[in-house]
Amino acid sequence: MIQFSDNNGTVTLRLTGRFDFRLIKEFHEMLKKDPRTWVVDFSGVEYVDSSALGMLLLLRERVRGDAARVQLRGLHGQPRDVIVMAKFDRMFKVD
Amino acid sequence: MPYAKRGPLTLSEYARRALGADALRMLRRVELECQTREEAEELADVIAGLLPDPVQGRLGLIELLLNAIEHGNLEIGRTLKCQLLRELRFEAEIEARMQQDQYRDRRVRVRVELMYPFIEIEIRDDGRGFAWRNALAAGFTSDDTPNGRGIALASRACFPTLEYLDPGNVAIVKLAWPR
Repeated sequence: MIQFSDNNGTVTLRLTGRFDFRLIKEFHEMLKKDPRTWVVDFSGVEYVDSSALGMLLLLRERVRGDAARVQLRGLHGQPRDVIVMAKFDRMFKVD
Repeated sequence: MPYAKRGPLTLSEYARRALGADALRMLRRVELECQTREEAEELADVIAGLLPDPVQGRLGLIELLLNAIEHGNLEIGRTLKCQLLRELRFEAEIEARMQQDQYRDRRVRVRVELMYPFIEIEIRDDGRGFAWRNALAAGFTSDDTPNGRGIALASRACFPTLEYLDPGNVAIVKLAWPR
């Protein structure tokens, strides 16, 4: 499940458990928002797959590739390993 | 409960219990099949329990199984998937193709051969295959496309020995438990 909050032009997506292909439909609903910046909070995420990488890239496309407008927060464990392996730490702002 | 209702344990139930080294030494073969992505998850959970690293093993299995379903059985090519994801129509297309005559009976068949400490996994779909050598050699794409990273993830992070049989509808993974 994806929880979100919208605060002064920043939409924060809070994910828990598995961030994988099962979330595609729900994530696509989130993409209909048009905030100034996005924050994806990974602190509750234990596992990602390649579909999660694809969803992050769709988010990046929504802000026309402006890395400063998509922030990945709270990465740890397997999700961090996959993000780094896929070189996404160079494509997104990672805290 | 009547015996008939309890029924025999399925191979997958045996596999689920075969987590200890003693049981692994006796288990020789597991065969499973799936059709949907949800079934693929359950199948991956069963087989991951047999692998040295269940978490990364599960990830690799999911990537290969979803490829087999989406690209193999449902014939959604990489370019089309990219387009569908960008137009937020990918899920609808999967559901639509699952109902079409030419795709609805297709399956992914998985065979696991165990010769402790060695394990071989074969994942076979009913599709036409793909240019697997290029895909394996390419690694992680550096472009911005929202798909095309599954095989790189499976081969780089999970299964270093991943290869395919021509024309590319059979994936083979070989693993070994550390002695």
